[in-house]
Amino acid sequence: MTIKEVYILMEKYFDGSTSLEEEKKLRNFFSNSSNNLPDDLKNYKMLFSRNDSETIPVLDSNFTEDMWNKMNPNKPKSKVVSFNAFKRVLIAAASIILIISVYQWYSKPPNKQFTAAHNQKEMTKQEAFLATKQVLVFVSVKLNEGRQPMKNIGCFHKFQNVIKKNKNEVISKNNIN
Amino acid sequence: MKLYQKIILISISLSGTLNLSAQHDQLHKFFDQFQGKDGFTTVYITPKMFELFTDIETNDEDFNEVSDAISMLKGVRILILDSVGSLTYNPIKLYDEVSNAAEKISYEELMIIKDGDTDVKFLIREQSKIIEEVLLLVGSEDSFVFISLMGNIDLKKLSALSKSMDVEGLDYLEELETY
Repeated sequence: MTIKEVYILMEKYFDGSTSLEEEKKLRNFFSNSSNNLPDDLKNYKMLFSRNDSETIPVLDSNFTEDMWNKMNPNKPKSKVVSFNAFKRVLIAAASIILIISVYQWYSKPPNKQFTAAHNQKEMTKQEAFLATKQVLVFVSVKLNEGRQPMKNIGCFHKFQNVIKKNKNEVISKNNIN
Repeated sequence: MKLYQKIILISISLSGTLNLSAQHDQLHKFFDQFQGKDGFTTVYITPKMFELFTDIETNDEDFNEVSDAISMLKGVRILILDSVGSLTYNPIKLYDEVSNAAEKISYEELMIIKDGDTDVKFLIREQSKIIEEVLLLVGSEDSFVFISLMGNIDLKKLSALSKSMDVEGLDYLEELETY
């Protein structure tokens, strides 16, 4: 291949109108040519001294998809943080209180049925009535035991009235005199 | 109002009401704590049971007086530590424990009776002038009794009961231990 041909092919190459074979010819020329190239062609030696495999990129089947993904990333943009730190702490605290409240609500002791101890048996209506009666009477008796001394306090008030009465009588007598 | 303010408000009001009821439960946990343990007799008569009393068939001669007093009750809890149990549990300690716990929450002392080595304490819980609960604690060297009467309680009615039935300070509760 003459230098002239090379120039023509290169012109075609940069126009983008070379066939694959013509490009191959060019590559062969540059790779086989020694240092006696004209200066203006030396600069192009690098361009045409690559291997075929490198110049023809092999596209895998996912290429288009990957390309689209790279060009048009569909990830949600990170939101602009609208809450400041203080509010976030408040919300966290409020949520914790809410959770604890709900927990307390559900962890209330179950409403047990009437049971008498030892064997945990259920009482019949009559037994329960009798038990209630006994408790009421017991409480009532104790209540009255406590009130017994109160009656004596009542006596004290009576006594106090008597004293006042006597005092008044004495005073009125003095006034008469 | 902002969201977090609402959350805080709701949760505070929620936890507030819960804590109040939780306080009474705290005292009632004493009953549950000792339920079924050796030496203890625990009885819990539920509001449901009191509803059933209305159509009870009994030949109890004191029925009228008793049912009058029962009508003001909604629930009864009883915890009795007998002399056997007092070997493992200290009755005086239990007495102090319950009494201190009750005074810390909304119970007020009504009267304290010291008779020999026996301490008797009445505590009440009032809600707008209505007595909602009466606690009776009896503690001595070898026994401890803890009674809680819940409902709408009239102390006059309660004290009139034993007078009308002509019972003197006999230990009525002893029979209860047979259940």
